[in-house]
Amino acid sequence: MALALSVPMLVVAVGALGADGREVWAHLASTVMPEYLRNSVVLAAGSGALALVIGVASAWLVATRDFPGRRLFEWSLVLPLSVPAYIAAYTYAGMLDVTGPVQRTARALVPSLSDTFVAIPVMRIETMVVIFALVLYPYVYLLSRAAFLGQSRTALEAAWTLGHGGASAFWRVALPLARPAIAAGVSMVVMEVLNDYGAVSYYGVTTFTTGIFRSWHALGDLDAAIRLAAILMVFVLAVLALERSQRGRRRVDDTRGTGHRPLLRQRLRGWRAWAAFAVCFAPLLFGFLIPVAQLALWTVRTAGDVVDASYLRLVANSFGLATVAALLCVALALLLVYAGRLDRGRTVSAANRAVVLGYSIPGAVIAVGIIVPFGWIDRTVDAFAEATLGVSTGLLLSGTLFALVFAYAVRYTAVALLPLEAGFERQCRNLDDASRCLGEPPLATLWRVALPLLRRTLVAAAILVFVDVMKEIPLTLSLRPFNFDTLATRAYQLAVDEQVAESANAALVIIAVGLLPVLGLDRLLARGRG
Amino acid sequence: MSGEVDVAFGRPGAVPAETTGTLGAAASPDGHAAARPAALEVRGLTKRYRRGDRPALDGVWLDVEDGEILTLVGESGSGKTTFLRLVAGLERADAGEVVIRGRTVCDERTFTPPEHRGASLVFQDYALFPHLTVERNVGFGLRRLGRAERAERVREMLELVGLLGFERRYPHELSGGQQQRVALARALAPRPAVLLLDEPFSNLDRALKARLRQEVAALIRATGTTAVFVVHDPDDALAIGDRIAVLRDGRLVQLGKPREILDSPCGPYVAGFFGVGEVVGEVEF
Amino acid sequence: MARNRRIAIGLAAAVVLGGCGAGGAGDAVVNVYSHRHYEADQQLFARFTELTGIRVNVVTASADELITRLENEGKNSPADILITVDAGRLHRAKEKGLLQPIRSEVLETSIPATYRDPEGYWFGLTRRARVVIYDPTRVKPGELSTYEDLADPKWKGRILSRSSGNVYNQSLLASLIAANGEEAAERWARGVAANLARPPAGGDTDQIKAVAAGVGDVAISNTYYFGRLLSSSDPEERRLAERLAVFFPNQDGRGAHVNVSGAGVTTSSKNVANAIRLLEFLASEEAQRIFSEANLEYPVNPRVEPAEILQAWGEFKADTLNLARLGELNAAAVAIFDRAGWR
Repeated sequence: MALALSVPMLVVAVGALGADGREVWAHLASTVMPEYLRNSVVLAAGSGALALVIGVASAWLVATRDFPGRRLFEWSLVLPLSVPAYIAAYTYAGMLDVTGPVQRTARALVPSLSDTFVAIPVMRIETMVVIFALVLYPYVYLLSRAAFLGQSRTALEAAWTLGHGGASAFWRVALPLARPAIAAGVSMVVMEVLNDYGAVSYYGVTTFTTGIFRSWHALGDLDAAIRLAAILMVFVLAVLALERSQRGRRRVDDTRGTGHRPLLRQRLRGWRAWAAFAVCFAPLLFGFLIPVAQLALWTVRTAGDVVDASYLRLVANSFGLATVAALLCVALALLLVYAGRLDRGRTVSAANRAVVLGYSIPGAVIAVGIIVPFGWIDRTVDAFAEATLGVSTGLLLSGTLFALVFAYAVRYTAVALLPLEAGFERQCRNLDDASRCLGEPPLATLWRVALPLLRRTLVAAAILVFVDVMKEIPLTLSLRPFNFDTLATRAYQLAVDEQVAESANAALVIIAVGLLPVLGLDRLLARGRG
Repeated sequence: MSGEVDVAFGRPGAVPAETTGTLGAAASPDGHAAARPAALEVRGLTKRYRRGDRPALDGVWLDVEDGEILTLVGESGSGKTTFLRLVAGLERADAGEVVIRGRTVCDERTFTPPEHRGASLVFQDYALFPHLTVERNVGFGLRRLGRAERAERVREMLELVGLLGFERRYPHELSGGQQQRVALARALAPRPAVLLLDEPFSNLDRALKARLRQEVAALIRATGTTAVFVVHDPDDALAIGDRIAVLRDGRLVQLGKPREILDSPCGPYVAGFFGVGEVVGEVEF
Repeated sequence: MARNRRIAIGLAAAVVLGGCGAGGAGDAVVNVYSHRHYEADQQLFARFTELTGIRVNVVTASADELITRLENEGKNSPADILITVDAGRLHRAKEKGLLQPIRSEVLETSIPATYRDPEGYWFGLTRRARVVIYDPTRVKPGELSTYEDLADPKWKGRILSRSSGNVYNQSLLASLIAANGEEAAERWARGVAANLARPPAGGDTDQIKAVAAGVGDVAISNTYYFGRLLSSSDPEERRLAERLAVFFPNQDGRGAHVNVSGAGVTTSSKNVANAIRLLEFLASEEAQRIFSEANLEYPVNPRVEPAEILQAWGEFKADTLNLARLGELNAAAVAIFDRAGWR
């Protein structure tokens, strides 16, 4: 199963080895490669670090402290995830540009400025880092909050009795215990950043991914593009391996299966309460409220021109695909993770790493990795059928929704896999063992013990996949059947065509549809708490 | 010296010169010859966690009679828990055989997964399922029974451990002692061929422990269940066990009835461990 | 088990969501792979169906992705027509054997020879000129002359352009290679890169707005982006655009650089006749007018007047270089950009 999901990665790897793009390769290495490398590292490290700080800080506050608005933040902090990075990038540029609402309002309010047009240098790599962090930190937030909530009070109390008060207990106990979850979250941020194309290309920041597209599209050299993709894969593998080796053989599961007492929230007062409020409100404001407000403004201006009945179809397409993909990816990830846990060996674990790689490769490259083998299968089957039966089978796989859903599985199983792995790692192995000793075979154990205990993580994983697929562009664009549009393809195509205002309504609907499961998550959490 | 002791060191079948008993499996612990088959036979069980390390368990041979309570005692790291996990099927042995009720569940070719072994394990931390009520925890291993039958068995078990009325509680709403009894009830419910208990008293205070260990032993005897207790306190071992097996560094150094161990500890280690001065035999390790 | 489940879900999804598979053979359809995703195109396809009863199925994606898809689908590809936004990609598709030559008197008379493949593999449908948008208060009359002149140090810190990753810049440089040779083109790219007012970022529209904000004095842009600002529903955008003006370079020489958005019939096409009818319709006066008015592109059909906004900029002389050359020189242009440090 993992193998099937790894096919596109294998295509890339084999393509890279057998590639013949030596000339183009030499050219790239001597001219632009250093910059690709530098920018990619800056973006990945910068956004990863910033998302880590925002995500962990807000998760810690929400999970262990009580302050005004906490209940609201608990779920609303996830919202920025529903804002596609490229939309956020376009939105901030559009908002601050000469005809954006900021300058417009200034001109309208201050007569002396009425003729002033200022260029605010938004499109820089620094801004890009912040924007990525703002819309991607929810990965870290979601996973680390689940980890903090799952932590037993005992460990923290032990720390307190050993003389490690609030902050120290956080650094020395809570944080290390939540580490697999946090690491999973940050890896997801880093991988999203590395494979982004829409936002960085608009801001003129050249990365490995823009390089891949440049080699493929402009230089017409798919081989060189595939080599770049292979380097990106190695890069990501290295990051993952580093994290794993550093974590080492430390175990962070709850050692006490039953002595579990949930953390008691500490009530904050005075300036501390407001500081906590500010820490949680800032990412929500900049990652969600401001972009959404801007999109709403644009929508009001352009709605009459673009909204029609076909919208319902777009919503149905997006929602349907995202739902199917979410269920599929979570089911696959669950089986893969559980197989890894049973196996306790290296084979399954290595296979799972391969699946995670799918997330790090730019979607368009995965598309190639799917188009090529599927095309080959189609042609082979067709030739065989024609030779033996005298009929043409035509295209069985290419250009079907099956190909598209398969592509989503390749790309997004990792999104479900990483949180589930972290969840399983936190969960006490003795519970599994107990179930096995009571006569339940592995799958029944999964169903009766692991699933109910990991319910929150499962739902969180499904939501992540759902929201990701809602936003997905390159796979959908290049693999979809005829006349098949989604909200994301509509929004993106208008945006790249510099009709940002016109794309706003589709973007807004993406966000709105993404909200539904997030709200569901809130209710689930509320129940789980009781 | 009476009593039936299987002791072997390293090589299967090798019988050291100085043992405190004769080999033989078909006799009851109290010395009466009986035809009852052994509930659990372990032959040359060996486990090494990492290549190159000293084995955690090194060629252990022993039998447990039907209905017998065996206590496995030793210091931390002596291999007690490894022994339990190997018997339960939670780890794979590197060598040796495990036979439960005449059925080989583990040898060079066979590995029966834990769910098909009929060995129930009571975990040191109880490992109660936090998402299930007491009732459902106890009924967890009874899926093959019908609804009514299952309810009846759960009731029976809860009555046995004195927790009737606690059916709807969740594990975290119980005291440590209560949790332990739930764990015990849960493990006994499916009528295991052999019950394995991993340090069941390590989390309890002294006074409570003295009372509880008698209670637990009585409970187990009442159901006629064959049991292997892993303990680290020699007092516990002496108080509960029909026979006692002493492990040191993964090897079985003595196996016998409490009296025998106290009267003739085999070597200074065992004597020191049980706090008796007299040394009868010397064993080379 | 998981595999079966996946297939099952995939099939279920196909049934539930799809119902719109590739329209296979039959005479009532034409299947289009298009890089154009404009409302105008939707409008035109609907009109075509209305006129002929032929249904138009469309997949839009970048031309390169569509070409990869065509290659891998091979002879079973459902696509009949490939539409791109530059001649270079059409040329590439032709080289890869993905297009077939078409003879059509209607197309040959509606579309001037410069804007179609000499052998009939592809036909231009709309023209876009790459021009200079400038602020008349800061650029003296007579200061602007040619593309070549933009490399002159007098423009230091005054030029705005998007990144070289964009095909419009690539084909502009390709036209300079064709006109002046690779060495001169590289000197030019270095010169312009050194003159840029800021590192390239954003799209053409952003460059135009940056001129209005005084970041630089001139922006290199395609005509329709400026046209869109001029006809924007937002008064602020119109006000901003009205302060700026269009300059068509090289009017005394080879003419302003023009590229086309065009189409070709695929080798695998099973609806060749329908495909030709669609192309003929898109080249017709009615369709050309819609292209120009709704999307502010210049028509290829000389019998059609451009939209009013475009007419206001006046007539211009267009480079007559055969556009197939742009495709041939595209990779060389990108390599030069990389060496010149034009991001």
